[in-house]
Order: sequence, then structure tokens, then C-alpha cells
Amino acid sequence: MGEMEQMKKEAEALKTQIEAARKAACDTDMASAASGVAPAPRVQLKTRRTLKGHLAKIYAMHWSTDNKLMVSASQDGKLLIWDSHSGNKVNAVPLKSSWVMTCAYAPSGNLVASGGLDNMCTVYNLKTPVIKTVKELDAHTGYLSCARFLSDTEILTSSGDTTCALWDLETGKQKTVFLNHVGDCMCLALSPDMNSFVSGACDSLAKLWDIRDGQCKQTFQGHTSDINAISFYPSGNAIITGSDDCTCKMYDLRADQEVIGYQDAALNSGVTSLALSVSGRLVFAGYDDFNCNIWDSLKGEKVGVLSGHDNRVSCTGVPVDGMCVCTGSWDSFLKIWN
Amino acid sequence: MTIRNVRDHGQRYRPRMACLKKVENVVLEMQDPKTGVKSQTQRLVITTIPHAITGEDIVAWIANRFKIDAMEARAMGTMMVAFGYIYPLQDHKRLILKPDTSLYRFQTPYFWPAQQWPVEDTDYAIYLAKRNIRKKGMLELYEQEQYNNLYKWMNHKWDFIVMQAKEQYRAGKERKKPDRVVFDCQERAYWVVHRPPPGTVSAMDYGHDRMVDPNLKENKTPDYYRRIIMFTQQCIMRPRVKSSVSIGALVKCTTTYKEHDPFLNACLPSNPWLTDDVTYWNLNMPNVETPTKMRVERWTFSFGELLMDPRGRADFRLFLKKEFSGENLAFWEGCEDLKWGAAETMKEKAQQIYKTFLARGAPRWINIDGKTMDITVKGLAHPHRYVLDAAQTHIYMLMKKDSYGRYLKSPVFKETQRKAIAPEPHRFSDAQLEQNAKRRRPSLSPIILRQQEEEQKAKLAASGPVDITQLCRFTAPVPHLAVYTGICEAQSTASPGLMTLPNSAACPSPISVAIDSTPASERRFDGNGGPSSSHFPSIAEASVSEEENQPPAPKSRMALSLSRLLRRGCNAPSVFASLSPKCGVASGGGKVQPLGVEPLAQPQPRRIANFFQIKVDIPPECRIYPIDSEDEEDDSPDTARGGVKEIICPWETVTKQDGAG
Repeated sequence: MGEMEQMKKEAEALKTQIEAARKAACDTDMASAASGVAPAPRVQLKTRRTLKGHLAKIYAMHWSTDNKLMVSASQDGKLLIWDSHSGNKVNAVPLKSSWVMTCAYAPSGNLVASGGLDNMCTVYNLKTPVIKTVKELDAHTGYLSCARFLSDTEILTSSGDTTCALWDLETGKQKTVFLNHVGDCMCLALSPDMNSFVSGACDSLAKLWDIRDGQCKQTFQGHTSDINAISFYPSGNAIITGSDDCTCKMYDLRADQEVIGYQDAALNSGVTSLALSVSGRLVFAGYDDFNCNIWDSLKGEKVGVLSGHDNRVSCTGVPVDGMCVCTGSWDSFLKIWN
Repeated sequence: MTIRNVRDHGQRYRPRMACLKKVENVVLEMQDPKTGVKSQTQRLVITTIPHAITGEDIVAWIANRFKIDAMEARAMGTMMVAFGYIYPLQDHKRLILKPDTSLYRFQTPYFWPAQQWPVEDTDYAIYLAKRNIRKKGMLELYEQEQYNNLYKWMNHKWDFIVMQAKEQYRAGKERKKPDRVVFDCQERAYWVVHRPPPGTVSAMDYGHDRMVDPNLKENKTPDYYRRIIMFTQQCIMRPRVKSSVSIGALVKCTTTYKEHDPFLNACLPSNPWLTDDVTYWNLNMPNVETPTKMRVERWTFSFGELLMDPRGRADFRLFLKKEFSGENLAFWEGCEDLKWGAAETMKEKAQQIYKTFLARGAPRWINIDGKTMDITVKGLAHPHRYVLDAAQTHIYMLMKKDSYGRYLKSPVFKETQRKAIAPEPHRFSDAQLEQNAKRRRPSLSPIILRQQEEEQKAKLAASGPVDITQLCRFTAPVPHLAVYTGICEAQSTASPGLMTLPNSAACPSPISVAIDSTPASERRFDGNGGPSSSHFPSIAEASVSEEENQPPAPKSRMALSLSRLLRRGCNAPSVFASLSPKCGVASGGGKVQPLGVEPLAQPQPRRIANFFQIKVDIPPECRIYPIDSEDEEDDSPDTARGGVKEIICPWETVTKQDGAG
């Protein structure tokens, strides 16, 4: 036991050391740094489109890089590809397993992926006249919570078995497995330079990983419950996380600490999803209380609300050109706001 | 696909239910006769209800116990009601805590929500059947529907269910009236929580279960501490930037892009989501001829922005062409192609890049420092996607620090800026807006869009002046666009008629062209001989081959003799140095056959590139890229042997090692 006591002491000492190091680096906070910035105007967005077509809870949606198409996944067993501006459904992909939890659109627009309680990530090719399954990536031992394409040949997935994985789509095998979380991984986000990604898990930690060497580079603490949503700031130097503890937090990657939190005493429901506007100024966070709140990322204030859904907002997304925001909900509708 | 247990999918831990244990502790505290919530006996109609508590008392107790304000206490109380630990006596369907004199009661532990298992449908069926027996027509509409569904679905068990219902009903009748009333209330509350009426949302509806038990405490073994120690040490060693610097950068980024954020600033001419007018999208297509002013402004924000925008990159390329330093960008694009492209062509691509850019005396040699070159060359012995990373970063930084700055001050950029469009904001009247909405059309399918883009590229490639320095597989517009937009079936669609790469307006005399040689002219001269080398091999080789499978037409006599004459090529380093565009470069990968590489799917575009090479008397060792296999068709075997392997990749075991990087 003496050894364990010793190690415990050492761990404690190191913890204090790193706290001190972080404090030393922390010579200012967001409030003062952003004091010169004018407050964001009150943002009042209206529903511009309501996309009806799903028959059950919508669990995920993802915009295509062409800013008009998007894919949404619902537990009625379908992936629907929408031309959001006209409201048309371009494609419907029937899923083998209806317990879908995530969907992703490849940057090229050629492929979409879905995954869920079947523990697999299925990739479909949209370019063939009849949509075909390209690959079924089956190696996770837990449900698939999130998937993101790097290109047409690589895809990142996060899973309930506490791992994330980088897959080679040509061989269908895992190239790298990212092991470090101790709770179900719930979400992941790719950095703008595509060299790293962050994942959030049920152990209330967010971790930054290097895609090439598979190592966890940084860990961010602060949340007290599952992290359900995570996103990179446009510059790639900060991340924003949303959690079941009803708060969102921004962490600075270079200073290695939490910068600002977005919370409100009146908000008592967990955050399910997050999306940022093009400049990073506005954070759209979807909550369990059927609303999506808009936060000013620099000031930490709420500047707007998107109400209109009849059930929990399960997914949020802003397209690349930032022209609108889309929310998907368990009430089976997708709404586009501007 | 293996069959998995549909019911629990290997997951047992209900996520937000991890709080249930904690709530139970609180509820027990609340029920303490001394320190708990004041309970009273209320008379409602004719029955007395023992142990009833008022909403305001609950809120006050919670606020006091946890030292929180009334609003949060109320939220917490509502949570307890939503979970079913406390139930309302009036208005029983709305599971909220009203901080007034409305009455609530504690639920019996028998009906507390269990963390381990969800509620059974069988029990619900029994409950509904029981109520049905007691009084027909007592079930509400949604309950009737559920009942019918359950009847269909559990038909095989229905006798059992009815029997159970009857038993329970009979047992209930034997209880004393107050007990019966209380029990009925409790049971009803339980089912309101677990089978909520439609349109209401249940706290039990949390989504899927988690795999890892959130209540599990990790054992504090030495290993656990060892991990923590290692991790914290790594953390400490990592360099940390001062907050003022990094937060300052974040703020700066946001303010820089403020004008470009459609939520904060109106976009010109109008936001298509607001006015249903898609002019904005049309003006901002990826490869539009004239970009908008806002788009051009974004290019000035960072080098990354410039490169990511295809139109910006094209502008930059133009600038570099004028400066004759296009190889940097070409190399960078080649590296990107390698990183994101298909695996099967990776090795060959890596070698191609080496031969084109890195080898000593390479046609488009890039300037990187010795150390990086060493690392890269060593890495190329076992090529993988990221083997050129170091070199790519070096070149990227070079371009960023040097060329980018000059670009922004250059006439090319200024011209683009001047010509950029600043559209007038739309001013639609209401009637016009309605019309716009009616005229909404689905956007073009991306397949069609991609085809259009490719046709445009092909046209551009055929018509406009193209910098010959850029003529390389990595920068021909079609292939590289295809790289970044995904699977490159593009190649095959570039029309075969485009064999003539640009820059060959007339058919110049062989020698003068050789001084200033371009594959285009060669190709033009070559006429229909052989498949076009403008079909640069790229990711999807196989799809390309169909185009190239036309058998090479018999060469004209003149062409043949000239080629034989010029076969030895102007490959002396000095000559090459003076010729900035290197002829063979543009000819597809089939030309240079690195050792040990399987022949490409497509027949090699032979005898095209070296057509105009000046015969220079140089020893074979000095020959470098791209002496190539066109020699094969020659009669003389010795020339063939000597000709093929000129640029020696250092990782390939060949006798001749010099001339290679």
C-alpha cells in the first residue's frame, strides 16, 4: 500500500503543479479581452423552412459543403437527403438498422455515412443511380455516436465503447484507434486543418487527439456531466463543448484551459447539440427543453432563442457559408432559421 | 451482420438516470418526520388524505437544504415530480411543481423509477385492463389506443393479463377505502410518469442507454495513479501560451470575420433564405470568373483562406506563374493529393512527386533545406500518406511568409480586387418576395454541377493561356479539383479532343519549341498519335483507362524519325535549368517508369513528351527525368536500356545512384 500512497501523493503534487502552471499562463480572462468588443445584437431568427418527412425522432443532421444539401437521420430507419432551399427530398436511404444515432456528409458530396446501435458505420455512395452501400465498418463494440468524413477515403468515428477510430474506406479497416476515454464517447469534431480532432465523452472530459499518431494531446476538464456536443472555433484554436450539466464551455487549446462558460440559472436542461456561426461569435446550442439558445461566444450572454419545436432539439448545424442554422428535433421536424 | 440482442444492445446504464440514486436520498430526507417537509392531513371532498404536502413547502425545504434560490429549487422539485418521486394530487397529468398550495404526496418506493430496468408493457396492460374492468369507458382516448395495441401485440398473453387484472381488482376491493384511494392515486401517478399522454414529454424519455456505468467508481489501483501521473507530466511539459495572447487571437478572429457572418451582417445582394433569391449563391460559385469583393477580402485574412478558395488559389497560381515560382504551389497540391487520395496510387504518386520536385536536377525542383530533404527522402523508402508532411509544411510556410505577402501587393491581385463585384443590395417589395418564393427551384444536382464544372475546366484548359510551369499532373485544373471534391471520375470526362494542352497556338518548329517546350505543342504535332496525356493519372486510375485504351495510331514517319533523333533529350541539368517548364513533366505518369512499379492501367502516352528534346551529348548517368519508355519502341535495345531509368529514386536499389536526390 505504501507504493500506492506514494503514487497518490505524486499524482496530487503533479495536479497542483499543473494547476499552478495554468494559472500562471492565465493572465487575463475573456471578459477583459473582449471588453473592447461591441456586444452582439439581439438575434431574432425566424423559421424559414420546416422540413417534414421523417416519421420518428430525428437524431442527427449534417450539412453538405455545397451549403444547400443536407442529410438527416431518424429512427424511422431512413436517411433523408434534403435540398434545403427548395425543401425537396433529393434522396431517401433506407437503413438496415433503424436505431441510427448519427449521420455525416462527405466534403466531396459523394458519400454519406450513418451509424447507431448496430455498432457499425455504413457508408453509402450517392453518385450511383441507385444508392449503394459502399462499406460497412464493423469493429466497434459499442454504439456509434458520431461520424465525420475526412475525405472520400477516410472517416472518423466515435463510439459508446469509449474509443474513437480512424477508418480507411478502401479497405474497410481501422487505421488508428484512439483510446483514452473512460466513458462512452458521444461526439467528435474535426479541426479546420484536419490534423487533429476533439471528442467529448460521458466521463465529462473533452480530449484533443492527433490524427496521425493517435495520441491524446490534451484533456479538458470542467464539465460535471456527459459532454454531448463539441465543436471547433473557426480559427481552430478553441473548442466549445455542450453538456448534460446544462452548460456550454469554451476551452482555449493553446492556453490549455477553460476560457468562458455559457450558463444561465433558468436553464435546467442539458445541451444536446452545438453549432457555431461563421465568425464564431454566435453559438447555437440545442437543449432538452425544446429550445435552441443563441449565445454570444465572447461575452457569454444569451442573445436569442429559437423556439418552435415540440420536443427536444437533438441536432443543430450551420452550413459552411453560414447563411442559416438548421435544428432537428425529436418531434420529427427540421427547421431552418435565419 | 451479426444478430444482436435488439432489446438492450449490450447497454444497461440508463444515462440521466444515474441521478436517481441521489434523488432517492434527498426524498428520504424530505420524508423525515422531524427535519423533512411538513406534512399535513387534508380533506378533499369526503376522503382524508394523510401526509400531503404543499408545493410551496417543498420549494422552501429544497431551497433551505441546498442553499439555492427559489427558482432553482422549483426546477429541482419539478425534476422530482417528473421522475415520479412526488406526485400531484390535483391536476395529476401535469408533472410540474407548483410553488403554491397545491397538494403533493410522496410516491411509495414500490413505484419509484428503477435504474436497472425500464417499465414493462405487461404491467401496463394489466393496469389498463384493471381500469377497464372497474368501469368501462374509463380509459382516455390515448389509453384506449394503447390498450388496443397491447391487445394485438400481447395477444398470446392476454388471458394471463386479464386474470391478473381481475385478481388485482379483487384484492383492491378488499382494502379499506382510504388505502384504496391512495393506492389508486399512486398507481395512476406511476403510469403518468412512465406512459405519458401524447404531446407531453416524459423525463423517462432520455434516448439511448449508455455502455459504461456512470455510477461506477474506478478502482484506485497503482496503475490508475501511474496513468494520471504520466498524463499530468505530459501536460506540464507541453508549452502553454499566455491567455492574453491566445484569447486575444480568438477575439481578433471573431472581429475579423464579423462582416462576413451572415447572422451579424446582411450579405449582398441578399440572403437567399430571406428573399428566396439565389443570386448570392450564383455569384459565389467555387470557380466563378469574377469573385465578389467580400470573397476577395477574405483572401487577405490568411493564407489558408486564399488556398482553400478555389478561385483564390487560381488567382495565386496566376501570380506565381508570373513570378516563375509555380513549383511551390504545385508541390503543395501534389502533397495534398497524396494525403487525401486513394491508397493504391499512393506509392506511384509519391515517386512522381519526388521525381518532379525533389530529386536533384528535377524539372520543378523546390527549395527545401537539407535536413527536411533528408527526412523526406528517407521516408520515401516506405511511402505512406504523410511522408511528405515535413516538406509540405516547409513549402507552405515559405509560400505564406514570402509569396503570399507579395501576392497581396501584386498587380494580379490588385486587378482582381478592382474587377471584383460589389452587388447592390436587393430591395424586394412584399409582392416580389412572394413571387420569389413561388419561383423557388430545386438547386442543380451536384452531379450535374460537377459535370458543368468539369466542362468549364476543360474549356479553360483548352482555350486560355496556361502557364507552362503549371503543366503537371498536380495542377491541371481537372485533376486537382477532383481531388478536393472527391472521387475523381473526372478524368474520363475530359474530352479526348483536349489532347492539345494550351500554349500551343501555332505549331512551331520543333527546335524552337524545344527551347521552350511544352507538351502541348508536342501533342498537337503528334496529332492523334496515342492517347492524350492530358488525362493525368490520378486517383481513380481504373476509370480513366477506358478513355486511354484507344490503341495508339501509327505515328507519322516524320514524327518517328524526329523522336529517334531527339530521343536522348535535353536532359543535361544546365539545359533543364534554363527551361523552366519541363516537357516531360506534364506527360502522364506513364512516361517515367520507376523501378518496381507495375505498369499503369492506362497505356502510356508514349513518345509524346520527348518529341522535341534536343539531342545533347551527355553521359547516361546524368540523364534525369524524364527519359522514358518511348525508347522501347525503338529498334536499338541498348538505347532502350539506357533510356528508361534515369531518375533514380534513392530507395530503389539500382546500380546507378547519382543523379538522384
